[in-house]
Parts: sequence; structure tokens; C-alpha cells
Amino acid sequence: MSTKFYLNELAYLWKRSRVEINFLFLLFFLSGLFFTLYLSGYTYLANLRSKVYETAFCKVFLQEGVPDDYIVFLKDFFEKDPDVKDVRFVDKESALKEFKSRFPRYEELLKLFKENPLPINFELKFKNELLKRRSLEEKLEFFSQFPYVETVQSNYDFVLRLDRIINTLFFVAVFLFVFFTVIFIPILSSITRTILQKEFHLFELIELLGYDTKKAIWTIGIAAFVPAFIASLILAGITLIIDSVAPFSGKLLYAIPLFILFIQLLVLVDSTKP
Amino acid sequence: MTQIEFKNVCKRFSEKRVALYDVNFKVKKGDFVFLVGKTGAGKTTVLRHIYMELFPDEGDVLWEGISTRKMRKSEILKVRRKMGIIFQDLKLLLNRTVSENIEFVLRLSGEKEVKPRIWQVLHNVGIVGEAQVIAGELSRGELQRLAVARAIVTSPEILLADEPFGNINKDDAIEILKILMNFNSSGSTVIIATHNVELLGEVKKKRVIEIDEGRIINEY
Repeated sequence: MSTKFYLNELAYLWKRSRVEINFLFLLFFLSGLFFTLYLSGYTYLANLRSKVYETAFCKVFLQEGVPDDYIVFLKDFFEKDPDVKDVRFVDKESALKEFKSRFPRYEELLKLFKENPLPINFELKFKNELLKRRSLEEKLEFFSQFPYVETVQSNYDFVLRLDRIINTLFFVAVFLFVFFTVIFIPILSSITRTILQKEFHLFELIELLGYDTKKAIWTIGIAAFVPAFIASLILAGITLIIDSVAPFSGKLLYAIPLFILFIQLLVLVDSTKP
Repeated sequence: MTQIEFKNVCKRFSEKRVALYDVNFKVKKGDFVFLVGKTGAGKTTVLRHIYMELFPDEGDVLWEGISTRKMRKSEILKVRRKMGIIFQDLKLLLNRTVSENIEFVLRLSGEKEVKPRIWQVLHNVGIVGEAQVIAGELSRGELQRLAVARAIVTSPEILLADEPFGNINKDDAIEILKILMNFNSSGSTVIIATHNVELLGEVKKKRVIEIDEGRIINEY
């Protein structure tokens, strides 16, 4: 059998089903683009959260005259806390150095005091698991009730806000994904069937003329698969660009074109059943 | 040489509906055979057995001495490639042009010289002027000619025609019959299933097999 025959049939199918094929392409491309951009935004924020989280900390300021053995006890206590990732003890000297390096403009203010006014403190970094407003607040409240603890301060507010946005985005994404998938599959199936059913009579004719229909089925299958393939290719290109310019890894974004190919393959296999 | 042989062929579509009952006949290479009978007599069923879309429940259909029931699918397809078939419902591609309908078969068979073959066959059946017309826009007579053209373009060993004169006027029917006779004169076998017995007189050298309710009632 001639290859030209199958190329001809491919051309006929595209010509005859161009409306359905263009619609399939647009459906795949636009939804894929939407999810690519959405996932990019999500990944960017999640990446930002990780970075901010790395620099965020909680300070437990201690009162003047706290006994040394109590400081050792607290350090030990914090280190054993499963939510605490890192513990740093800042004595008065270190606190002064830190103040001068962070706020050089206000260095002169310190000269108004006879003694170093900066309190000793513990700088704590929390693990990701603690990124829940209530649990963080409970933790800070708990530390503040310790003996010799003057006050507890933290700069986790921004990261908590980011976390809330990310969580919202995640749930919206899950909802949209399920919604799109549930709506998509019948639409895809219907369009793919429309394309294929126009050709089913050819299979019968080809067989009656004495030729095997396998290649014809493949040809028609390929023709119906092309919109998803082209859309996936363009989306993979967009992902490649995002991956190279964005300050985060875009590897996860490649899942979208792969998912499009997978779902079209499933629909195609199902639709070839007469 | 016997090309096709029906040996005690019985075919039932259901308990009550017997399509063929103890059918026996032989067709030699180069024969011109009319299968005649009323609508529903079993003519199409006989043809479907010949092109192996159906297989007998009892008895045997032999293609050049080989039982069609024993053939594998690849062998069946190979035999079908030696046949030209004019289907009762024509099975033309109505959304394609006349020449594209012929091209479909030629390309499928791997033919390289497509254009001259198309032109020649359309000239032979008298619709060369309609080559670029969409098949769906043709008259019934022209569609029949196109179906004939598609069936003979690959120069098959045997031509099976199921009601090729259905729904067309007598002049067109005679024209089609002449095309089939001309094709037969080159040595190919022609089997025509028809209820139109008026045309039998147009062919001098022929065999007629008359079927009624699935039985052969007359043969000459």
C-alpha cells in the first residue's frame, strides 16, 4: 500500500474536519496555557515563600539577670523542640554587633546608655510544618510564658500571608483542574468521535477492497492526535522559556503538555471503538 | 478452470430466516453470469459469500478450489484484491470528486501512474467530463458508472455487480451492461445480481442462475 495514499487521507481528514481540529487545538492550547501560567505563578510564590521563610526568624528576648544554667536549659529545650529547625543564642555583645550592622544610622543612640541596653535572646528558625497561623501563634504564646522571657517577636507575618495565598491558589487550582477535566473529557471525546466517525465508513470500504485497515486507523488516529501534539509542543516551548528566565525550576510545568498528550491518547483509544 | 464453486451451501440469518438453501453452482473463469430473482431471493447473499463477507453455515464456497472458510483474514484480503465489486449501495465517497473516488482505490493498491488510469477508466465508462465533480452531485446513472469505474480500474480477475441497473433508466442500464460486457471480453469473469430480467436478452453468451427464496430454481 502506498504511503501517498495515507498522506492523502490525512490531508482529506484535516480538510474535512478543520473546524473540529482547530477547535481541539484551541481547547488544548488555551487551557494548557492557562494552567502553565497559573502553575508558574504558583511555583513562583511557593519559591518566594521558601526564600522568605529561610530569612524569617523568631526572637525570644530574655530579661536582665537570667541565670546561665537557665539559658543552657532554654537552649536545650529549643533544640529539642520538633518544630524548631535552628537555634542561635545571641549574647549582649553579639546583639550589639548585630544592631550596629543592621542599623548603622542609630549607632549613636546607643551612646546614650551607660551599659549595653540590648537584651540577650534566642533566634529561632521554624520548620515548614509550622506554617499555620494558629500553631505559630500558639508557639510564640507558649514561649512568652516561660520564666525570664521578656518578649517574643517574629517576622513570620509576610511568609504567613504568602502561605495563605499559596494555599488558596492550590485549592482553586485543584478545583479548576477537576472542573476542567470533568468538562473536558466529554467535550474531547465528542469532538474526537465526530472526527473519527466521518472516517469509519472508509475502514469498511478499505477492507471490502481487500486491504488491511490497521494503517488507515493509525492514519486517522494520528490526524486526530495532531492538535494535542502541536498544542503540547508549543506549551513545552513556552515552558522551556519560563524555565530559563524564571527564578525557579519550571520542570513541573512540563507535566501539563504531557497530561494533554495522555488525556488525548485515552480519549482517542476510547473513540476508535465504533 | 473453475473459479468459484458453491457446494450445498446453506445460510441462515436466524431460525426462521433461511437465506440460502442447498445452493450448488460453478463459475468458470471468463463466464458472464446473471443471478436473477426477486428482491430478497438471496442474490446479494450469494455475492457476499463470494467476496467472503459471509460464510456458509453448511456446505462450502470454494475460490479456485480452496474453501473460503479455511482462509485466514490475510488470504481473504488477498483474494478480494482480485475482485472488483459494485455494491448495491455503491459505497462511493460522496464528498469527494469523481476522480478522487478512483484515485482512492488506485492509491490504496499502490498504483504509481494514477492520472492516466483515472482518465482512461472514466473515458471507458463515459463520465470523463465529470472528473472534477463532487460525487454527491451526480445523477443516479452517473453514480452507477462511477461505481463500475472504481470496480474495474484495477483490472480485477472477477467483477461482482449487485443490482448495477437499480433505479436507472433502460438506456443507462444498457450502457452499463455494455461496459461490463466489454470488460468480460478481456477474459475477466462477471457476475451480475439483478432483478431486471429485461436486459438478459442484450447478452448473447451468458449463464443465468435463477434464485427464489434461497434456492436455485433454474439454471441455463
